[in-house]
Amino acid sequence: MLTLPEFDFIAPQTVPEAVELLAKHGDRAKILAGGTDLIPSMKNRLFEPDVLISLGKIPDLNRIKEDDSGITLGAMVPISEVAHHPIVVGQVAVLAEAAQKIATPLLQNKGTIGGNILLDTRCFYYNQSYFWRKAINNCMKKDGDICRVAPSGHRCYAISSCDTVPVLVALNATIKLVSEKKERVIDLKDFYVNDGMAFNKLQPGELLTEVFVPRPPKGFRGGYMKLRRRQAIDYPMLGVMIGLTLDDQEVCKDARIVLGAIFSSPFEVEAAGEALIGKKITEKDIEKAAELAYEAAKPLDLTNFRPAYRKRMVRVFTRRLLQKLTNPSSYAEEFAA
Amino acid sequence: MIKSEKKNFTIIGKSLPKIEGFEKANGSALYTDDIMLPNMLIGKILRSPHPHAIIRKVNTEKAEALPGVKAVMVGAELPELYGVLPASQDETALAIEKVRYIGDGVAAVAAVDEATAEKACELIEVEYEVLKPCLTIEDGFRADLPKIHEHTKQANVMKEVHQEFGDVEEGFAEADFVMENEYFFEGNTHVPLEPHCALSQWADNKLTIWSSTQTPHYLHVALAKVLKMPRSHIRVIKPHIGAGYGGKSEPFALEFCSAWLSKKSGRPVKILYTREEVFYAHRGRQPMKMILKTGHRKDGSITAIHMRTFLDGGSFGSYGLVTTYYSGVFLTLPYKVPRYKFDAFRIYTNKPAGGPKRGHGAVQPRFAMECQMDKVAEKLGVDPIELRLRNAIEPNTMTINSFRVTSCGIKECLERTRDKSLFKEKYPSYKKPSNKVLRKGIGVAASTYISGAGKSIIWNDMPHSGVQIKVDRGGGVAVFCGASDIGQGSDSMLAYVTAEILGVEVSDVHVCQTDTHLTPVDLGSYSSRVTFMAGNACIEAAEKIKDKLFEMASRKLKVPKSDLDCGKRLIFSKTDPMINMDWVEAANMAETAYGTIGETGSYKPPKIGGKYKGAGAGPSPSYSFSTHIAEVTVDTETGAVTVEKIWSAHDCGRALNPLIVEGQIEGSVYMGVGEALFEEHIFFKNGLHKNPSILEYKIPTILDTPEIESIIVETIDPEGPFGAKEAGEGPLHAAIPAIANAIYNAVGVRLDSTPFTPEKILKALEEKELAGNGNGKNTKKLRGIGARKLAEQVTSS
Amino acid sequence: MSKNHNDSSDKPSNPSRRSFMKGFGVTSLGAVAAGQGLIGSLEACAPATGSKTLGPGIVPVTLRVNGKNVRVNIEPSATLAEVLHEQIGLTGTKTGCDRGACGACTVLLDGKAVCSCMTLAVDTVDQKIETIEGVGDDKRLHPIQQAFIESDAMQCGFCTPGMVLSCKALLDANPNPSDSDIRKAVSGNLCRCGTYPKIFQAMKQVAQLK
Repeated sequence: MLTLPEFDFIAPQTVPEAVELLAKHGDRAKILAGGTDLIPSMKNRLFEPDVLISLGKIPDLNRIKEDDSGITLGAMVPISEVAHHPIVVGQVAVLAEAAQKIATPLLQNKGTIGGNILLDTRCFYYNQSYFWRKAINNCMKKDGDICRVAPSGHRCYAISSCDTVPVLVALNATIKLVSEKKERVIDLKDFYVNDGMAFNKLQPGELLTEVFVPRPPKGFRGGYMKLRRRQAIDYPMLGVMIGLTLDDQEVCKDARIVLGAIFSSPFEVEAAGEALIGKKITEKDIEKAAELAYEAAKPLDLTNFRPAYRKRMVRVFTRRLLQKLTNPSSYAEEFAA
Repeated sequence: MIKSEKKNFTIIGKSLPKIEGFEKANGSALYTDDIMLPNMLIGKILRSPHPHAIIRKVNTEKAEALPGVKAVMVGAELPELYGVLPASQDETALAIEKVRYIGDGVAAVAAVDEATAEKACELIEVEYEVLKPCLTIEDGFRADLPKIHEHTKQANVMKEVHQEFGDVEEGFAEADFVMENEYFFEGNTHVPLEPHCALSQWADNKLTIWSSTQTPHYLHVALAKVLKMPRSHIRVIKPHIGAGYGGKSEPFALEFCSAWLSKKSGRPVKILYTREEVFYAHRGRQPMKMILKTGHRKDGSITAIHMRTFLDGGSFGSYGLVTTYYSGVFLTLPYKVPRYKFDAFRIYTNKPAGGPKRGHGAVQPRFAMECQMDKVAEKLGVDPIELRLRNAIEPNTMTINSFRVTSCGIKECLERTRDKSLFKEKYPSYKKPSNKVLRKGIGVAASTYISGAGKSIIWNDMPHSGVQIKVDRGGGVAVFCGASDIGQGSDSMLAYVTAEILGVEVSDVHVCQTDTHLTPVDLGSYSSRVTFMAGNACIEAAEKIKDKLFEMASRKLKVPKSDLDCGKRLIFSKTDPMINMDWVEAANMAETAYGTIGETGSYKPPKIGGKYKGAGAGPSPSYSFSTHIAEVTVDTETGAVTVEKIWSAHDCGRALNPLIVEGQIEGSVYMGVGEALFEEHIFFKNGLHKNPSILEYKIPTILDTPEIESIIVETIDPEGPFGAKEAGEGPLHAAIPAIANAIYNAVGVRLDSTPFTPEKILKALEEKELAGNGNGKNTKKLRGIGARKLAEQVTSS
Repeated sequence: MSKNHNDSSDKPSNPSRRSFMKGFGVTSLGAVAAGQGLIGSLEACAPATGSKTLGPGIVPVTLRVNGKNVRVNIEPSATLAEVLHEQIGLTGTKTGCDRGACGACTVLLDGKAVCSCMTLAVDTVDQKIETIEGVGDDKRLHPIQQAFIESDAMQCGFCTPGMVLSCKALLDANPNPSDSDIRKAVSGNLCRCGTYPKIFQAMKQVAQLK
């Protein structure tokens, strides 16, 4: 790692001022939120912005609001708040659960929900020092021509590594994007693109200001499982989010199964969810859904854990989560610590 | 050697805080990077992007022209070879004719700040002629690959060792059964939290260097050689060190470069490695392929052992000659081994050099041996602890390879961990087949390690450790010793020993941090030698002073010297403690009578060891013994292993401070757990380090660390200071095989290669299932080690 | 390691890549009225206030460190870890990995434990920074520090300042932490000497005292 490259720093106090600055500086600027990904990436020379626009002094972006329709999280709400705030824990516990699994308490205090939503995709060949990347003649995501993971492929396969995103997608979250001229609200699930380089649809000049999480319907239950080597620090090598909505008769009204850290974008295995809808979920249904999720997952060798293992864990995690959500007592018996 | 007769301790054996606790707790303890000198420059080293290449040309003109750059150097300016072992001088401060791994230093700069130094490095132009790299042990025997060092006789084989004690073939013939297995131990590294740092100040043709080194003496020697100046004009100071675990126990490029850049610029120069550079500096655990063949009688006794090891040494010698020996010589302990044969090869490869990591060279073969013992117990249907107890050596024995064992608590270690862990009940119960997804298992392993090496790295007959003690008129006691406290508490140990013997409080004792201008030579913090050797030297110095004080007290109190004792700043009569005098008064009287009160003590190990080739490797004045029992949970669907608890019994002779000994046991176990489950110092096929960061190189967090119950076993060593032996390295070894054996107990699969990743566990479970279905033939490929194939290759080449 | 050497005469003339905006100083930050809802619509917000750009080159800023205002001249690219260690001389803040994975550089920012190696010093203006030197007072160590010493919860001591600060942040927020709270609170602070059992003991001891 190198020392940080030089840049100008500005901390606007309002959103309009921030978007005005964004418009003015264009792609010479980067937005600084918590900095937990951007600062090391800049030390690795993945980014060398001329201007850093810090959102740290915009109080509006740091609020959590609750109403009947759901909760709104400002983009600068720290992960630690998402993880522990009574509103989040009370309304969408699964989001808090995912946030608690991010990195470490130190990084949760700095990292933000907006930062997690916009987190750069990651890869063994990309998240390395300037020196290191030069030693392999770089990769297409930064300064190079080819993808080191799939040299004959035509795109970058770096993976989406944000723990909250599969959860937010399954919860039908929307995000607000504000630019100098307009603002738009879009479904988070439509925001991402399965391309390691152009992995989302954020347009030049746009600022992510908030994420809205609709109040889950009655009978909703959700769970998130994360694959990592250690119990802290590590990025997800696989994230499985499952949201089920069951009626009073335990019949599944809605089922959402979203995978993280497999592709360059979060990936909803719709077929797996559909396999559960309209049913009183049995072990057989669970196996079927897990199998469908497993088949859909096609991880590549670009991070910790072998791809075949990560794929295999898609099945195990999906099955376990479904067992946990549909039959918590027997799950607890099997997996009691 | 003067020994202490003291029996009634006031300090020794007590759980006291370390003497530097205050400054470490409030952040005021200074580490090398915390020292700033006026006009200080920052140095950086330009590193090679190629694993193996001839340096055609280095052009530093543009770097020199960059404003703020004060000095630039290239390898040719310091052509003198060095290496920590006199017999293995194969390094230069910077690469001269060729680079040998990705990350090898090529040039260095000193500039007014770090950013400028980085820019200057970027401006240095290097022309390389790329050579084919040698990247694996197998490559090392290939004659068609270019040699990494010219001096090797066969391809890139750096060292061969062949030893035989007794006729092993006869032993195998005598055995009721013979077992041969392959094992692989993955490379891993120390990851001290403090990156290496050196600050050099060259003034008046003399050099002062502050460095985060475990071995100030060896650094002193190497600096004099490379810089071609008298050692008397070099001062090496060791501030607090953010630990080492073996990773800072030899000279590194930054020390020579900061010194030379300081000479060239006329200003102090500091070089602090980035975390990435620490991974390239490495000197850690060397990947090792092993073939272990053991012969046994029906009662489980060993008739013979033949160990073959292949070490991936990386680009330089480092301590490799010793590592090669250590990969085999300790297998004659802690069990009775009547015949032993050992063959080893260490290979140069185009990767960062391996070296000594906690438990140097012995951790890998111990893993093999203890897994093998478990297999033998299984085959015989014997409890694995019972098998070990039957084979365990007794105190005061001589091994087949002439290691003299004095105190030995191996049996007590085995018994106490067994009883504490309820092994006898759990072992058979966990073994029963079950359909549960999560399975528990329990496993045992035993080990041994040295309390310092019997021979110095630089062979001579001088002391291995020296201590000087000075008493001032106010009762302050200053202790000077070259031992390098790296956090293990060796400075505290010197304070406890001194205070105990002299009868002052620990707070009255001031231990001078290593400074070659002030402190007598101690060889350094490696081989678990400091407590044993510096402790004994300290006893000698303190006893000499005590003798003078007692002489005075005897006169004043009119009590024979033999009736005197001391403590709590008093000297008193043992028979009537009311007859006493103030300690400071006695010290003042002694100074009046004898002049300034200062004494020295030295320690040199006794003449031990055999007469055969390589007999210098392995003999120690005393051996420590350990037993670990690990309890694990294995998730049969994910392959994840959770180490729930480790019981670790360690025979440390006497615990001079049980709290610190416990800390050493816990720290060793912690490190062992990391090696067992997570850590891999691995490379891409082009020789590029795969994970040179603390994010990607997985060292365990507190949440990954099992509960650890330390059991201190005291055997009161006849030659150790107050009976003490080592505790800093021994308790690491057995953690790894204990976990492997617990995994077997839980799910019936053998993990013969480290680390025990979920991927490997699942593959092993798959193999087991296939074998159960009668499809065992296909399974070998899944987790192959290839050591036998390697052995065939070696025999035929 | 020094990023910004105090040797201005030697400073290379950094040819700036930027010429569009120059200016020194710290923005004065008053209370900002919240808009409608969480963020408010663009129209409802006040027009841009023209916050000052810091840089290029060295800028003077005032940091609030351990209860004192400290004026420093720093580059916008200086991390808080660098500024504390190199310029303010608070060398208890260590850098172990420089990328937020080890926790040696932990400081408290408005009472929350964060990694100062991934925090820009200029971004902490107006925030309360607490380093290990600010823990306890001039005469006495904080009970956590005392317990660390007594339990021998430190070997090499390099992780200790960060570890103590993470522990303090926990106890300040939660005087009665569970065992799991304690472990989680320091899960981002690596101790390679493996003193975790002793750190845990020390924290149990302090938590019980409270």
